[in-house]
Amino acid sequence: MSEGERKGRMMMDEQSLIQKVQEGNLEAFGSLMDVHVRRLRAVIALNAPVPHLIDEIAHETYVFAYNHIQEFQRGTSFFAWLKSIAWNLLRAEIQRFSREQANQLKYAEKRVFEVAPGRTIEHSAKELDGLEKCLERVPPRLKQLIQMRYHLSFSTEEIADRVDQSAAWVRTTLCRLRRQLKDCVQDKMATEKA
Amino acid sequence: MTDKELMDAFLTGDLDEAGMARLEAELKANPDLVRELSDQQNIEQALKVLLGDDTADQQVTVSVLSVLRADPIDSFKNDLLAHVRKEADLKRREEEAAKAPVAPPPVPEVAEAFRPPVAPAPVRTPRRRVVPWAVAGSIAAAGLIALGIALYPAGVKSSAADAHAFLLSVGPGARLTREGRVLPIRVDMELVSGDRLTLDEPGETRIGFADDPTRLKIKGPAVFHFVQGGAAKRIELLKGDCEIAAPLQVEPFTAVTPHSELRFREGDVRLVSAADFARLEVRRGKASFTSRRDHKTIDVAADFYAVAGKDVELVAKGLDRTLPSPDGPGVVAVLRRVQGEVYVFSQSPADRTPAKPGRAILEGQAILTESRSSVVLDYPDHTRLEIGSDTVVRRLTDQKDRTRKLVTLERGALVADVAKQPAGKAMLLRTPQAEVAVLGTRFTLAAETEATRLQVEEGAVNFTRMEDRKTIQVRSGFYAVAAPGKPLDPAPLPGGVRYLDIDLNAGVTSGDGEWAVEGRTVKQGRVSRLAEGGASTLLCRAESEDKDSLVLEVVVDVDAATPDTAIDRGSWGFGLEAMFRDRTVVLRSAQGPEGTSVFEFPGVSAIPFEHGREGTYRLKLSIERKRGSDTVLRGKIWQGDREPDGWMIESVSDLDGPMTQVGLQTARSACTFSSFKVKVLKDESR
Repeated sequence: MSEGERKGRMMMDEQSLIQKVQEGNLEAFGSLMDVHVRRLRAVIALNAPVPHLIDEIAHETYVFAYNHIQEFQRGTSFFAWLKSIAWNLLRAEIQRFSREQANQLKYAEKRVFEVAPGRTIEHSAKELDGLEKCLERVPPRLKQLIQMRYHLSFSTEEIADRVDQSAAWVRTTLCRLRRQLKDCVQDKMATEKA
Repeated sequence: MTDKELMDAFLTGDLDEAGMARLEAELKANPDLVRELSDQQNIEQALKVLLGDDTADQQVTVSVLSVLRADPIDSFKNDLLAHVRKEADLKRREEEAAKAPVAPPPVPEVAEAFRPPVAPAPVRTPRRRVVPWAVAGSIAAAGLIALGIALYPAGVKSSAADAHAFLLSVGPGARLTREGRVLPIRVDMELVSGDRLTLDEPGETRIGFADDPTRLKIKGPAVFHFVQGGAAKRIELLKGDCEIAAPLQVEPFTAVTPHSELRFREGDVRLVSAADFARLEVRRGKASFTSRRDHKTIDVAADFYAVAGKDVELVAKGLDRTLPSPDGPGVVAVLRRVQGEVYVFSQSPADRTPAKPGRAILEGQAILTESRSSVVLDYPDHTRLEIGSDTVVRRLTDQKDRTRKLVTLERGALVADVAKQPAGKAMLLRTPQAEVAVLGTRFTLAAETEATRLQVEEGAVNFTRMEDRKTIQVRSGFYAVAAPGKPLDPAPLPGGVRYLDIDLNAGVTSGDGEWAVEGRTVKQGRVSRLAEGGASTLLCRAESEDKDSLVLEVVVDVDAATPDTAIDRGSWGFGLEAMFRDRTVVLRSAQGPEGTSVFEFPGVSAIPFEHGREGTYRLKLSIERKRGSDTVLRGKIWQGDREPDGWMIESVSDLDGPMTQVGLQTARSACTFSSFKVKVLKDESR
């Protein structure tokens, strides 16, 4: 099956699931959630100023989507619809959070909050695509570090032990890697724009 | 710490107060760093989501479905109807008993029906769905309220008023999220519908309910969602371990996990929610357990358990409460130092039981560790396996020849400290890609999905790639990787690291001790009662080259210490020694009475350091030598597997010549030393 055919098939499956949800089938909504939940959380993650907002916003997005499913226009992109719901919720949450929670945040979190707004939903979706492509380019030795930190959830000390380097080396290298990924994503987006 | 290290530690939540203060100062001094931290955080979060397992995805899905399924108006309506019927029955019986004529109930006035005190607090989370027929439901509910008021005598307590729960105790790393906001958490705090409790660290959090003595004990790490209390209690356990004790309930107590739904009216149960399965154990009462995969439901009676999840058949099995004795028949090894979540299983990992230190492992049993968990396993001949996190070890002995050790490492990593094996019975360690044959040495073996890495600390081992049965020898200071299509060659460890061979059996003892070498473990079993000193040393030959930089490491189990630590009686302690041409370096912990306990290079420098009488400690001594300058000595001591960053104590010395011997020291204490190794570092100035 070609990539185009596969996407077409997925789209068809998705549309039939949406139809079932619109007819009141909650289990179909579960399947629909499974299709998008990872990418939706990743888009939110790229923009959420504090980590615990990621799952909260994803949760709210799905609840909102279910309650307004009749308003969704079949034939259009369901994921794009989800993203815009998430975006609005996240924006509102950031505003509310900065008003109500600012005093409870650590200084560093507070400063990160202050620089959080200023992007668009389209920007963040493209950023995610860029990040996935940039990840493919990471050399295997460094990819191993990323796998250990993010896939295997190893602590810094465990990683250091396994690669026989100091914990400081692991922290510095991962920090540089994230910077390189960010630069790579921005380069990609600038190229696309050009 | 540099800026980068500070930022990374902030993102991983490892910054202590001092570190946080430093980061704060850096952010204030350098505004560009704020943007950098924000970028770093977003990439960090996205990588975690993209590359992490699907537990968090499932949690979101389950939590949404659960909110959408639980219909607040339905539950409110049912609660109220039940009360109305109950009260009506009671009234009718009383009236019949009095043989009085049945009078028609007074018709309530509409205005009275909406008096504020009776307005119920339906168990409703703000996140919940507003169903299309909400308006009709509200009208029906209003009618029912009116009817309820007519039948209730004044002052009857609404069931919904007791629908909350509260925190009886709060474990470490607990976080409460309400309507998207993280609230400061404290004991006695009220939990309302929709509250999410996240326990990031091991520890217990207890929850009670307002309307009856139902109690929950949640063991972290866990994610718990309080859906509703009252007559129809409902919770979600998205991750973790929860014990529930409930008296007789009006409606079944419901607990939902990503893989199961549990319902029971009375009893004591334990529910474990993991990424790929849920396990229910019933200690008292009876429960119904439904697999969410195929919606099959079974009854689980007391002393039975059941597992629901991927590739697991939902059947109830008897709980095995009898654990084998460490020296019983069929025992192949014993577990030591269990940290975090460690399990033993026979057939499927879903069918597992928690492991405890001292537990015997039988033939055919396997060991599983979760993230940030580890366990040490000892064979009777003192061969030791240190099993790391996220690891599955399937077998420990050869099925055909049970006197031969054959370890199957399905995934994860372990460090093997192998005692001398009988001729012709080399210990074998197998992974999906490789096999290691060893007669006695120390090495690390890590199995990933597509590759196996072997790193040899001492001696040499034979490493075979299963794909083509190619075998190479890997010596101390080298590593090799077996993976399809990759060359199988030993390569030196990064940084030019190698380990010195230490022959513990050829060591020389001195002082008032009773030293015994068991495999690669050394025991000093005598607690000296001598007033002064009572010190004893084991010195072994371990020759380095001139000007080599070295790191000595050892794990010390303090088995017993003298109870007598008065100032005029001296102290107790343990330490490491390194002998050079004209000087000996000693790093030790010397425990005395209050105010005199130190961690020290004796006679050179010391810092206050006091710990409990017994326990497991890790000790590290670094000897950094550079041409043309003095040698820098550094030391640290810690408990647990997480080695602290940085050094605790530092000194300078003018050492001459190569190191010739290394040693272990005790003073008025009995200790077991294991994992003793000397790492040789490349001298960068050469």
